[in-house]
Amino acid sequence: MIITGTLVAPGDKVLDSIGNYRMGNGLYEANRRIFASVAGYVKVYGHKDKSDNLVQVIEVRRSEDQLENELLPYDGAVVTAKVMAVGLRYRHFFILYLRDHSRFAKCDIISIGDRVYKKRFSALLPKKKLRPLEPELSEPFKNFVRPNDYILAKVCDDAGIKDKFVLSIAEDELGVVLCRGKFGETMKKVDWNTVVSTRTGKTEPRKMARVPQKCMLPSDLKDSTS
Amino acid sequence: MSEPEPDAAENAELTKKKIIIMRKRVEEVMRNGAALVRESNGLPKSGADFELYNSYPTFNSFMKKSEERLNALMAKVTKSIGCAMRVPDVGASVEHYTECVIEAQDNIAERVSTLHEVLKKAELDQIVKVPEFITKAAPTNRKTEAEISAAMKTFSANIGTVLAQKFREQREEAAQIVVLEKPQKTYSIGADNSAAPFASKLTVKHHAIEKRTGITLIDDDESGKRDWNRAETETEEEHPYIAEILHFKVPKDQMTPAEPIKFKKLDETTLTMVDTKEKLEALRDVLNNVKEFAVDLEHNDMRSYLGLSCLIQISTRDEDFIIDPFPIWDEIGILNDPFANPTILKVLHGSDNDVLWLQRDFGVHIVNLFDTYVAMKKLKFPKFNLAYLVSRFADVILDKQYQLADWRARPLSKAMINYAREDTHYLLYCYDMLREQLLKQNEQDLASMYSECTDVCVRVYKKPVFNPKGYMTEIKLRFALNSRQDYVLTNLYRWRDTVARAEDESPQFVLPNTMLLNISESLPRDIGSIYGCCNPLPLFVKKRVGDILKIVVQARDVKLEKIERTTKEKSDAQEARGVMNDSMDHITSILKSKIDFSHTKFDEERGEIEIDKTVEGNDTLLKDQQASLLSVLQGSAVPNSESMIVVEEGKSKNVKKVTKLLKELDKFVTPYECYQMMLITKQKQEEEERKEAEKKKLEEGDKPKTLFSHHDASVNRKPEFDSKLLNVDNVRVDPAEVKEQEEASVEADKEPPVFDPSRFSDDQLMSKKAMKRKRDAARRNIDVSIVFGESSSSDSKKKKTGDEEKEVEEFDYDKTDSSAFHNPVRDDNEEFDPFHQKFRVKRSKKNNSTKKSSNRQGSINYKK
Repeated sequence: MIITGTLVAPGDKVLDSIGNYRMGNGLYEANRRIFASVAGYVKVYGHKDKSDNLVQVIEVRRSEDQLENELLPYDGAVVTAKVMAVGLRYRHFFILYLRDHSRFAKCDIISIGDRVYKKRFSALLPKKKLRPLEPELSEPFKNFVRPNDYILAKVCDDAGIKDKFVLSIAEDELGVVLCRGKFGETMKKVDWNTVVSTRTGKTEPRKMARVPQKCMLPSDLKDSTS
Repeated sequence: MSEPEPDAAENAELTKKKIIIMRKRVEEVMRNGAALVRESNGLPKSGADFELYNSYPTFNSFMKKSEERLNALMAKVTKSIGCAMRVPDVGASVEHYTECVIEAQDNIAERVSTLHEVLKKAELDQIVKVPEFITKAAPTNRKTEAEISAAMKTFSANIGTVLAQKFREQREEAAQIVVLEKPQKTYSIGADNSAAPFASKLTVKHHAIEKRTGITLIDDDESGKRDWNRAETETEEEHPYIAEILHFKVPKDQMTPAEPIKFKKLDETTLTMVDTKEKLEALRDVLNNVKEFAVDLEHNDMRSYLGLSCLIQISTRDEDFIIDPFPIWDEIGILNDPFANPTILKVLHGSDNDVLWLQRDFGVHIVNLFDTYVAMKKLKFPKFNLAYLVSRFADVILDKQYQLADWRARPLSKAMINYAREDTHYLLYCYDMLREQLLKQNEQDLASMYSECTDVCVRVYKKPVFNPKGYMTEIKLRFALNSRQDYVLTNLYRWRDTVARAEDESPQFVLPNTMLLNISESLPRDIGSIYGCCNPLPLFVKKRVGDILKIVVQARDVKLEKIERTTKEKSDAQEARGVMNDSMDHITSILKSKIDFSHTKFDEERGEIEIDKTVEGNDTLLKDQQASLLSVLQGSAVPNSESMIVVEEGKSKNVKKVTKLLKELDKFVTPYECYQMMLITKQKQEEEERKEAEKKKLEEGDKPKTLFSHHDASVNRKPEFDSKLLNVDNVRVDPAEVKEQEEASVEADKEPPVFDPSRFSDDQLMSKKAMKRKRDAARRNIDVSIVFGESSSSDSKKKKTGDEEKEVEEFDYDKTDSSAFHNPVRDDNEEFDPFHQKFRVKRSKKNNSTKKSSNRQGSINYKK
């Protein structure tokens, strides 16, 4: 039997032949033998394939958590992103209407989980993914997110968009975590749907993430520490 | 020092003289040219002038003669320059002539430029070799060999095209060697292509050891029978020399190191072509007296079912022999004497097939074999082919272009003979070198190598057995077959084999795999489309196209179904092809490359990949601690955050500041951390809620459920029928039907049946047609009831209709306003037509009563 949980390094032989197992991640085959391609722990788990047969998949993982194994934003990952622009696409078509008919908000993924990358991944937040199972709005983004907001979002799979990561904030826990006003001042949460400017006292609608409001902008940090 | 100066002066004088002579000559040529032009101007111009002169026969004949002379002269001139020109026929058009002249001039210019280049090189003290300008009949588009060789030497930029041209020429040359008649026919070499097992051709068993009869089974009753059985099996399975090979001990001198004997040069060794019985006997005597000789075979398997040995090359230390086996086919068996002699060493390269071919065609068996291929594998050479071996040891590069030539061709060309001879000529020297290297490496290796060679010797030739499902493994199917295609494929595959056996051709020659697949894929309807599937058309497809058509037509009667192959069949086929497709996944597909042989069983560069099947069973993690990278990983520990601080050179660490900064950083909460906190609190909440719900449940106990939702499991309840509901149903149905039903219900009251149709509405019970019939009957009944005024039912609707009838009867016409009838009928559907009879009549009437109103009415109507 395979000793699950054994530590292997890249190039270590894991199996002499694949046998009844299915190859998972972190393995490669050469000369009919199975080698580890990453450093990690050997793991065997049951997996149901398309025809509903239970197959044993063997894998080398860095840790139990999926977040640790994936490098790129994967389906279902919770990411922190910055809204760069709203309605870049199609804007010039609707300039006469004066209303915002944009379908996407362009975002940059700053961090996946807790890991921050040197480069940002560009992503899209379509208007369909703003709230769960509700009819589309005429001015979708106005009440949810605005440019330069920091949001918590989930990466999700979208059949229509293949070239970019697609984000969704259609959950209570997801939404805006940090936002700034017109003059760069911080906006404070009033309730889960509104924020107020600390400088002008103007209220703006936002979809706030229902998380403890503990993250602060650098400027506020200075204030609190001093 | 003083000597070269007068030489140089002389040289200068000489060149001066030469230049003067050249100038004079050029001037002469120019003068002659000018005279020529002048003279030619005196000739009659083309057109009417020329026509007139041409009518005189003397002029005509003179012109013809002069044209011939000019032709000859031109040919002579171009030939003398070295670029012969194809002179057009006498009487050709002027354009043709000019074309030829221009071509010739181009050639001359080219030649001049090449010569010029060569001379330039000569000035730079390089080797001068004026390229020989060989022109065959005339300069054509094809470049001459000399040009190619010149291009090869100068390494022109497009060397690829030059090489391609060379190859094409060689192929053309090879194509010219055509075997007009099969040698099997000319020399009447019979082959037994039947399915019967192979019978050994061995006539005289040389060097036989006496069988020891000491160990025999003593069985009184059936001993005779047993012996007979064994005798039969010996012919088809057992090797005739099995005892000799198993008792073979490698002679001592083969196991001891000795100085390698250098091969003689090709020119110095005598080559004997052996094609008569006398020569063959002489060869046998020669071979019997040497200690070792090298052997190689040339084989052709395209134009015969079993294959045909075409040439046997044998080399001793001093001589080369090439046996042409066709004229002395049956006599070659006498060579078995030296071949089976255990004291004489036979050296072969890649002997797996050669051993079998010798057995099959001539009944020659080998005892004491040294296979250089096996030895090379033992020594772990980078390559294992003969060319590499010879180039490594003998420093001779073999030209392998004739490897796949048609060796049945007679007479053999000089190049082919040379190739065949080189195959064995250097082999003995290579053997010496290999032996020395093996002995140097390990003495055990040489012994094990000999044991491997004996394994090769023990192999017995077996005829190929036809496998009706062989196409699964032999042919790579590129599409999923349906039943018809499968039928055609199976039958064509069988047909191909039978034809090949009957005609003594290889199955591939009868119908190549690709064409076989083409036909079975497209299922052609007629002969023309069968021909269309095969390009170029094989001989036997053309001859026996009727058979193929028959099979294809029969296939059309087969029921069309999709054929599912079992996974075992698939994997077997893949295994046979040496491909492991099932284990192909994302990573291997990336890693797979065309020059990577790891996914196949055999690698021509590295030989067979050794996979020890004994280890395959247990899935233990076999890790070599030293080879693994783990030791490195374990050695490195995660450094402390403080030790990671980089400080500018010359400045000391400000620990306080750093710790403060770290603390501040710790204070900062990332959004993701907030999210995680939220998740934890949510989980806690949910748990609490669940606990509360459980508590509630416990408190409330098991109460019967009162509220149901669609989430609940479906409960089987008995159908309940409300009598009122049934009545409501009846209201809508016609009275006669109601009557019927009532009657039925009365009956039901009398004796309750098991199945009560009255409980269900008609449309639940009856078919559509029956319903229609019933409705029709009901309608008829209604008529009857109205006529008789039957109102037996207590139906409210029926009562209502009765009331209405009464009201209609009591209608008083006097009370109603008759003015409405004076107005014209407004028919929306009908368009207004002023000339319509109806309107005219109305108009005249209205004219009588009120003119104005009628006019207005008409206008309104018009508008409408």
